[in-house]
Amino acid sequence: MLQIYTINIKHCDYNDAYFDRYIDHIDFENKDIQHIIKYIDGVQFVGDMRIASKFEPDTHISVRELSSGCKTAINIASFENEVFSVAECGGNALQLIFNFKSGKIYVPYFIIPRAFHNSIEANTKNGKDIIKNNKELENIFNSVF
Amino acid sequence: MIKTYKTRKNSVDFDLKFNSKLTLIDGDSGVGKTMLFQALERDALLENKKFICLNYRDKVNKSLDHIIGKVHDETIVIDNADVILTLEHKSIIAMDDSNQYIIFARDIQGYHPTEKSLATLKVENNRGYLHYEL
Repeated sequence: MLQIYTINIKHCDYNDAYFDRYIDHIDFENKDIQHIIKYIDGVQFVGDMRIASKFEPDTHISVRELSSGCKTAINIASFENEVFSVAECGGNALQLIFNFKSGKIYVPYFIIPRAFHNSIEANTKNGKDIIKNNKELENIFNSVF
Repeated sequence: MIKTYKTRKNSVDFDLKFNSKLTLIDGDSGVGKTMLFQALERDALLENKKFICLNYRDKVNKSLDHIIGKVHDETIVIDNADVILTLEHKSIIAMDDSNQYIIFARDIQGYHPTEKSLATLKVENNRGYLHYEL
């Protein structure tokens, strides 16, 4: 189950730096990781740590050029025991992340995804709650932020 | 104040309009915000454009506090604002009439923006522009 934290827990704010530092531990051949890349940044992984450029046809660039939101999602999926801030994630990245079946995220301000389908464990100043839908998440965040 | 600006990077032509001294830019992940920041940073370096560009590297080298609230008549561009700016920084920015700020951020709390400040970066057919929901 995805775990979200609004209480101040040890977490990573700088997802780009973390991604760069631990890139050798990320399995880019994994289909789930490739799906994240396609869904969030709209580009295809082409092997050898490269992706097809979104703006320049027939150009391959390093996975290091992925967006911060995409790197955040990859970090969450690849390092499930670490907590990552989703402060820099756009709506498209949040939509995917909130539907992860595992992983840990730190939510620093009021952020609501468009919809999510799996239950989420919310850890806030009010304690631990299991959230099943956007309305429940909104109620929790209204009491916290 | 810069009201319009054009630049190009990675085959994308950016044609930007600014309606206020404070512009907060959001947008989907992957739309090209950091690419635009890098284009402005490059332009500042190569073409002597009057931009001061700040991102998470400036938090590491502690130059944020030497610029925010300390310079005048500049255009300050800030990427990674949601993780590098404190509430104090945002408060200074909100009250600063001397400088123009172009800030890539999703959390608008603390900036006290007007409607003219809130923009979304869109890139369509390799053309980038700011959409204002006025």
